[in-house]
Amino acid sequence: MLFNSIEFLIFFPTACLLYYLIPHRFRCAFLLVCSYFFYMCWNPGYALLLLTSTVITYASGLLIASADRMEDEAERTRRKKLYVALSFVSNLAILFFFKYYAFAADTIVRLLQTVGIRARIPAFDLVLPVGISFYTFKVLSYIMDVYRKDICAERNFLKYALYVSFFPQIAAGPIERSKNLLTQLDEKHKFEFERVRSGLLLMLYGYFQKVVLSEYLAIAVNSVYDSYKERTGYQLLVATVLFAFQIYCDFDSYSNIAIGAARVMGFRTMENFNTPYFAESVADFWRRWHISLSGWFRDYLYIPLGGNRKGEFRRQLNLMIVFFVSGLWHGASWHFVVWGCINGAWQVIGRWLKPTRKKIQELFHVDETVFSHKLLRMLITFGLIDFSWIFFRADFRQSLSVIKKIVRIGGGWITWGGNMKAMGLTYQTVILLCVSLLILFLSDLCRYRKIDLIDVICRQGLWLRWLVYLFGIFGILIFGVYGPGYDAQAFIYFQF
Amino acid sequence: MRKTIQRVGGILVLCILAFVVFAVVNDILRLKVGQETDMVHSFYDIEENTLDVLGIGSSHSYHSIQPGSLWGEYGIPSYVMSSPSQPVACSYYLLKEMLRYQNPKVVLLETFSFREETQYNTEGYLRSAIDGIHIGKVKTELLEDFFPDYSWKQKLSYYIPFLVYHNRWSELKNYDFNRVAWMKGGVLDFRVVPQTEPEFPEKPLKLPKNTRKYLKKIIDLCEENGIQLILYAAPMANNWSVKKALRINLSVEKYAAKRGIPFFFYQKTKELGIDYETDFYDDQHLNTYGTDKLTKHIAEWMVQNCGLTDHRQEEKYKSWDEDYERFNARREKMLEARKEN
Repeated sequence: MLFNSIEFLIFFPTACLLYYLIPHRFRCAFLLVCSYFFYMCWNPGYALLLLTSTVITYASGLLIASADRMEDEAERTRRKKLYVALSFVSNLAILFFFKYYAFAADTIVRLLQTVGIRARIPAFDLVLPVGISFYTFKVLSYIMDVYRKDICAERNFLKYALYVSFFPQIAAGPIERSKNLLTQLDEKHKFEFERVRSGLLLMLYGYFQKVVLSEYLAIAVNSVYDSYKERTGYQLLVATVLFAFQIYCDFDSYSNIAIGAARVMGFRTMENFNTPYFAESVADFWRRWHISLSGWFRDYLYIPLGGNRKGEFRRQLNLMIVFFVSGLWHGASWHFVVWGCINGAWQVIGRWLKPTRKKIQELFHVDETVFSHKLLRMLITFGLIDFSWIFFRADFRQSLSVIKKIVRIGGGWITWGGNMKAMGLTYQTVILLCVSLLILFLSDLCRYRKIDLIDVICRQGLWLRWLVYLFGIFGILIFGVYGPGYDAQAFIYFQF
Repeated sequence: MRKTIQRVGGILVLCILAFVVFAVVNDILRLKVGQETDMVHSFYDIEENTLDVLGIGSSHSYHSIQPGSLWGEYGIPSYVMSSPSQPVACSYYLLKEMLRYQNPKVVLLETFSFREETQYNTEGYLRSAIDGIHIGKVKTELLEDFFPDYSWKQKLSYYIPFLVYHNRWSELKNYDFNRVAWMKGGVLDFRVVPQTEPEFPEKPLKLPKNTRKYLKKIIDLCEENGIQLILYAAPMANNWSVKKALRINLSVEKYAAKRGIPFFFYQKTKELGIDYETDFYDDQHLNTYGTDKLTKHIAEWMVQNCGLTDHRQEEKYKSWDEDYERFNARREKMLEARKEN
């Protein structure tokens, strides 16, 4: 079930209420049942895949732990590597089959066609299991952590199965680390009013981001990108800028709802976005964007590849490999790979240009600490990231056409109102979007300055607190895009 | 413990406050069928067991019966619970719902929608008719009848129309904040668009199965409750739908005669003296000049044949006089404005 569905609005309070009412010893099993129910609402059959991954990695974890007790070091290392390899191969094979098989088959057929060979590879009509990329990475991180002895292998199967399937995170993350969540599953969570309130407020903000901001932005972006050939460069430029906020709101909303829901039940989960558009470089952006995924790639791919320990060339090569894989993770299509590679390339180019940049700064006595300099860096970073989003939003050929049109912007400067209408927006929705984007900006600004806005709200007097609650709830109810006639747009990240 | 009680109390108060705000917001945002007249919703503002006459049916119903005039000239308390293209099936359920609150002596059913072969024409027309029905037994029965295969989720927006209409925030009009129950479901429209008289067909057209089904239910319901059902067909001008409607009415005439139900087929009898140059505001509907003629005719028939009495001096109906004054003031103002133009 989607977070922005009526089913979830019934399921979540019921699950929470029962969670706090039942004795502690049954809570783990109860949450596991809830999580599988939540997951099976999409496709009951795919719960078997989830269970398979869980069983394989649970057993692998125990086998690695048992191998750890062997005295012969060579045999111990060999066995541990074997179990890790088996676990990785089996899980990645499932992921490959369900997510990348059609893509790989199509690529091979096309490649063979270019050398004059006609080939046919059997096709399977498969629906991508929801959250498969997320939970596969989650279980692989567990295996690596057990292998590295960062955590002990979990012996309680129910606990481990809950860690993998924990319903707030199963569909779109954050990709929680086992050492954070597994250890919390033994904690006895009491109903703490302040914590529950804080979780609910975070969820409310997430709903605002999704149902109001992201959905209205989607109207404008989709209307332009779906008919990009007839659009002016100016409209495509505006739509591309708006898409940067749409995808941010979409994914951050999911993370906020997930983190908030977990918090209501007493779980502390990792943050996933930290004001990414305040980043001052592309590398900084990736420290702030989808932190759980970036961290995963850093710990389980970049560092094992050698990270920055093997010289500048290897460092840059490793970066490109990581972003190539990251692109592929986001979608089984070459345009996602291009998107990933562009993000890797920005960082490599950034490193090449670093000495030149330094020289220019020294020449013009640029003070790096002043606001104007930071703002300039933020704007340039935003421009670079937004450029890459074009390849994320559209396929490769479309992206090139869009870029061409944006560069040849001439002839597109028609009236503001005319453009908005052409983008499917009315005068009222433009005002709503501006106000909503202002709220998003102020909220992110507070976070950037390390101000906990929820805490600030909760410390206010009753009248202001209640005013915020009511404005939040009714703002979403009135201005949100939902209901009949409207096919609730699936969270963008569900397709990954 | 004290803190817990305080918090639980606080949450309860907040929930009540949220509910009140929701009720206000919902009332502003919901679709007002008939704009300020707000036909189905305003029905619930009428004091229980005060109505003698209820009008149901399509737009031809509220463009032919004027509750203000019925009160002002005959002392008949009436309400028109109609909606655009109201399906007969909806008329049946509206009548059923209305009978939970009122005990009328007469039900006036306009027959334009009898030509429809399905339970409802479009979702919009359906919603116009049933959104206003309060959540309860009748609404549940209606939804079960109309959508036997729908899941609870698909039916939800019929119980909570806010789910559909919350997006109206960008198109709110004055009447969304000021609906007027004192029009009793009637409309005032003095626009005059000259029309031509349609040719009268000779051959009847069989009543659709669905119409027969729900008409029978309406007849049975009226009989059970001792209500005099009156069928009538408001005059129409030459338009795309008139031929079919008139042919259907020829069948209604036979059916009504068979069941012993009065049927006023005004297009055929021409007893209203409708002037096609002055009594229509479009090619389908009567304007207020035409409505006055039809209302007068049917009112006099009801007074003579249905035992309706004049309630104007009764204490219970004091508010009806006030409502009539407002109606009359609006009417005079509109007439003056028309003269000036």
